[in-house]
Amino acid sequence: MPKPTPAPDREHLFQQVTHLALSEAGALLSASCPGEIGFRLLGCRHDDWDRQFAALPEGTELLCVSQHLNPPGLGLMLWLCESAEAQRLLLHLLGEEIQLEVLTEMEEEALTEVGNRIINRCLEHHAQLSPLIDGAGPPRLWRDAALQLKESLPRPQSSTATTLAELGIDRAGAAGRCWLLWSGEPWMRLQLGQAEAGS
Amino acid sequence: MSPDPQQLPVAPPVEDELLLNEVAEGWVLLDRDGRVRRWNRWISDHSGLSVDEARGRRLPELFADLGEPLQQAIHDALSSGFSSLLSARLHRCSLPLFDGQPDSVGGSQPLPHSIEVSPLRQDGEISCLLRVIDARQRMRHEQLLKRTLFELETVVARAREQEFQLKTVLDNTLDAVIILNRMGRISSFYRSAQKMFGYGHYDLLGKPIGVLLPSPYNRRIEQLIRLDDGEGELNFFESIKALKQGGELFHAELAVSSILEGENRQYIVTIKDITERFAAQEALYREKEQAQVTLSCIADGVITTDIIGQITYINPAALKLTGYEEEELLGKRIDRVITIESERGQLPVFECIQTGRQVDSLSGDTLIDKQGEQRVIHQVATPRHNTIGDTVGAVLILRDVSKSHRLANRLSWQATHDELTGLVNRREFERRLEKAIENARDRGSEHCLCFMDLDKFKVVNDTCGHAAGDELLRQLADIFRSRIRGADTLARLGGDEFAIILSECELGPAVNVAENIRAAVEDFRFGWQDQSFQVGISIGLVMVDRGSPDLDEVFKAADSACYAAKDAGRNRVHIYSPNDVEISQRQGEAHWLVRIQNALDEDRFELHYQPIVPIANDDDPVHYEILIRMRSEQGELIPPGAFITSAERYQLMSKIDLWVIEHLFAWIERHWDHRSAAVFAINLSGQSLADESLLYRIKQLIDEHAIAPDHVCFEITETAAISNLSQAQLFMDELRDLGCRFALDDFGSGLSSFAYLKSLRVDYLKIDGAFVKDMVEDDIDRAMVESIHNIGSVLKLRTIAEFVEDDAILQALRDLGVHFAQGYGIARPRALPQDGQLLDRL
Repeated sequence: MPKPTPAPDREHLFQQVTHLALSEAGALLSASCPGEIGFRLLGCRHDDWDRQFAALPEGTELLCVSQHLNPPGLGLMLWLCESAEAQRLLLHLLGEEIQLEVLTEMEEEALTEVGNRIINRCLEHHAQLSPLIDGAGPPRLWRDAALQLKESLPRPQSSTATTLAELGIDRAGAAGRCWLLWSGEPWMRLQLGQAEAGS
Repeated sequence: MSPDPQQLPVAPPVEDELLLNEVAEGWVLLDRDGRVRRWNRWISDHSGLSVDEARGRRLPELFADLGEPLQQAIHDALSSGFSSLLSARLHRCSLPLFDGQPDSVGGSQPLPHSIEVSPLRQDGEISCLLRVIDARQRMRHEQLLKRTLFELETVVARAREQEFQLKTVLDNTLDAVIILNRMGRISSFYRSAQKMFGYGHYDLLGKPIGVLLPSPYNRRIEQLIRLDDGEGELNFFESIKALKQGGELFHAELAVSSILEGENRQYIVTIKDITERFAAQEALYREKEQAQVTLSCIADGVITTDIIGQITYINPAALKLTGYEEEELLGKRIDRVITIESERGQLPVFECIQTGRQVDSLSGDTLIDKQGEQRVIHQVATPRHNTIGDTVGAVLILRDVSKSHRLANRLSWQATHDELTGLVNRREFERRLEKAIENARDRGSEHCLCFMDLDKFKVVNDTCGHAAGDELLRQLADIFRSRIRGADTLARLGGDEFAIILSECELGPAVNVAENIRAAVEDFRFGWQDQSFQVGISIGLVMVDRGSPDLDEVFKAADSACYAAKDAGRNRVHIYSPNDVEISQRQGEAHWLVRIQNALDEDRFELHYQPIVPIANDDDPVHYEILIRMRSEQGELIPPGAFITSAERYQLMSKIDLWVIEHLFAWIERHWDHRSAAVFAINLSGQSLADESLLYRIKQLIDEHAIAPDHVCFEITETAAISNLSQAQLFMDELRDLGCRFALDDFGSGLSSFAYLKSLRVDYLKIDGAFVKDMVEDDIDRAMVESIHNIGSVLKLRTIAEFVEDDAILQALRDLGVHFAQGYGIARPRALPQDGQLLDRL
C-alpha cells in the first residue's frame, strides 16, 4: 500500500502548528518547574502504524504517554521518549541531580504530565484548525520496547495513516530527543486558510 | 472551539455527594464557567473552606495563589474537552491544601497532591471534575524507596567496582583464570586465559576443559568435579601440559579450587605457563648433569667442602689421587683425612674460607695418599658463595703435577748441563765463574780456572764419525771428573773444549790438578772398532783472585793461555801471565783481524807467483804457484806468514782465498795466452773447503772469465783436507768434474799421511819442503821424499818437491824421478806482472 503523503501546503501547515504547540508546551513546563526546557520539531514521517514503531529505537525501553482523542474513533496521540532520556528530562525539570536506575511512581506520574502537556498543546492548536477534534481522554503511561508497545497499545482504526514527529529536547545545553505519534491523518484534519487565524 | 457535551462523561448525580464525602481524596466539580458546584468533605477538611463557602465561586476567587498549570488544565477541559494531569512531583501543591497536622509554628503542613482534571457532562452542559489525590503516602514511599535504591545502588556500584577490579586482576594476571561450572564446563574465560590459549572470550564458553587440557589431565579434573560432594573446600594442584589454540603443547601448573557451596558450586582453574621455568629447569638439570659428568671425567681432583672444611663432594679423580673410598671421606674434615704437606702453614681450603678469596698453592705441595705414596700436587681453593654472597664452603682443585715436576727438574737440569757428558754447560759454568769472581773480589778467596782444549779430537771425529767422537768426550769427561774435588766445577763448554773451576785452590795445587789431567789424557787410549786413538789436551790456567777482571776478561785470559799451550806444541799446561810472549802474540792476532779486514776492504793485497817447473818430462807444463802479499798502510809488503794464522783464527781465509781467485782469474783473462799449457796453482785453506758459497762462486768466476779449468790447480794442505774431509771431498769432486786439478800440499808433515791418499782425489803430491831441503845431506829425508814419490807413482799422482834451494837438490830429485820442482833454487816468488810475461827461472 502506498504511503499516505500530505500535500506540501498541508505538511507545511502541520509543521507550523506543531512547532507552535511545542514552543508553548516547553514554556508552560519551564514556567512551572525549576529547570528550563524547550522542544523543537526535527522532522516528520508519514507511514503506517507498524512501520512507525519499527522506526523507533530498538533494544531500549521507551516511555509512552497516550491519550485517546474524542470523538472515539479519531484515534490516539502518543508522546514517546527513551526511558533514560525521559529520566534526564525530569531531573532537569526538577533541578535534581541524583539519578536512580528506576523510575518511581511519582516520577512516572510527573513524566505522564509532561507527555500530557505536550499532547494537549498540540491537540489544542490542531483543534483550532480542525473541527473534528473534540477533546482528549486522560493520559496513560506505558513503558516497554517499541515493538512491545505497538502490541500493547490499542491499535487505532485507521492504522495506515500515521504521522511520527521527531522532537528535539533542549535542556541547558544538553540535547535529547522524543517523538509524537498521531494516528489517522492529522494534516488532513487541518482546515487550510485558518492557520494564520489559529496562530 | 468548545467540546461537545454529549461526548463527555456524565457528572455524578447529587445523591452521590454523601458517598463522595466519604472518600479519601478531593472532588471538585466546576460548572462551564469554572464555578464550584460541588465540593466534598475531604476538600473542605484540607482547604479550610466549607462547601457553602466555595459553591458558586471560581477557584482563583477561593485561592489567591492558584497556579497557572491548574488554571490552564481547567481551561483545556472546559473549553477544549482535554483531560490533564497535574503531578505532585512537578507541582507538589497545585491547591493550597494542608494536612491538618500543626507545624513547628502552630500552622499546618502543606499537603502534597496531584490533580486529574477531566471534562464532564452535567445537565447537558460541559463541566469539569478535579480529582485531588493525596500524595503524602506515595511521597513517603518514594523517599523510602529512593533511599533504599540509593543505598542499593551504592552497594551495587561498589560491588560492580569490586567486580571490575577483580575482573581486571583476573584479566591481567599472568596466570590463566578459568571458571568451571558444576558440570565441568567453562563459564568464564578471562582475558588472561584468552592471551595464554589464543581463544576469544566466547569461543570456549560452555565447552569442556578438555579443549584446553589434553588427556589425561582433562579426565582428572572432570573426575575431580564429578566426585566433589559440594561440601568443604576443594584444592588440587598438578603439573600438566596444556594445549593452545594452534595445537601447541606447553608445560603448565594447574590449580583447581572450589568457590561456592551447594548447587552453585563453581571451580576456579588457574593455569600457570611454566614453559620458561621448565626450560630453565631443564637447562639447569642438563648443566648440573654436564658438570657432574665433567667432574667425573676430568683428570683433576675436585673436592668441595662446607664452611668448616667438611667434605661434601669428591670426584673420582680425587678419590684416585687420595686412594680413599668416597664413604671414607664424605662428611669428614678434609685436614683429618687427607694429608697434604705444604710450605704454607695452613691448607688453602681453610685460608680460602677465612679470606673469601681464591688461594693458589703456587709451589708444589706433597699429597700423601692412603698407601703412603707421595705425589706432587698443585692446589687451588676457591670459595663457594650462597645467593647473598656469604661464603658457604670451598672448592678444592687438586692436580697431580708429579710428572711435570719431574719434567721441570729435568728441564732445569738440561738448562744447566751438557746432555752428552752430564757436565755443567757453558751458561751454568759462566754463572758459577762469575760467582767465583765475585767471591774472590769480596772475600779475597782464590780460585783457579782451567781452560782445556783437546788435541787431535777431529781425527777421531772425522775418521770414525760423531758417535765415536761423542763416546770419546764422555770417557774423557769421566777422566776429568775423577781428577777433581766435589766442590770444583767441571764443564763442557762446547765441541772439544772443557773448563774447570778449582774452588778455593791456589796456583800450586791447581797446576798439579791440571798436569794430572793432562797426563791422564796422554795415557788414555781410545778404542773404537779395532782402532786405537791417542789424544792430547792443552790446558790454559788462570788464577781468579781479588785482582781478577770481569768474567769476559778471565775467560779470554784462560782461552789465550790454552792457545798458548797449543802453540807451544800442544798437550801441555800453560799458566796465564799478562807478560807472556805467547799471550802477546795471540793478542797480536786480534790486531791482525782489523788489518786484514781493512786490507780486503781497501784492496791492499797483491798477487805474486813462483814457478813450478817440470824436471822429469819437459813436455809437462810449467806450473805457477800464486802467492799473496799484503801491502801495509805504510806501503810495506807484508808476507803471508804474518797474517795467515790470524786470518785462519778469525775465519777470514775464505775471503782471502776468494780475493786471490777473483784477481788471478781477472789477470788470466786479461793477460794470458789461453793456448799456453801452463797451470796456475792456487792455495785453498781448510775454511774455504768447507765453504759451499765459495765453491759456487769459483764456478761462476770460471764461467765469467772464460778460464780453462784444466789450467787451474788448487793446492790444499793435508791438515785442511783432513779437518773437513767430507766437505773437502765434495768441494774437490765438484771442481774436478769441471776439469780443475788438485794438489795435496805439505804432504808428509801431516798426522795420517798415506791413509788419506785413498780418500782424496788429487793430481799432485807436493812433498813437504822440510824433507826436501835436507835430502842431500839427510838420508832419512831423502828416503821420505823417495817413498812419497813412490807412493804417488803407485797412485798415478805427479809429485812436486818444494824448497828446492840449489842444484844438488834438484839433481837429487831428478834422480828419484820427482816430476816437478819449486824453490829458490829455481825461481823466487815475484809479483804477477801487468804485462803478462811470467818467468820460469831466475
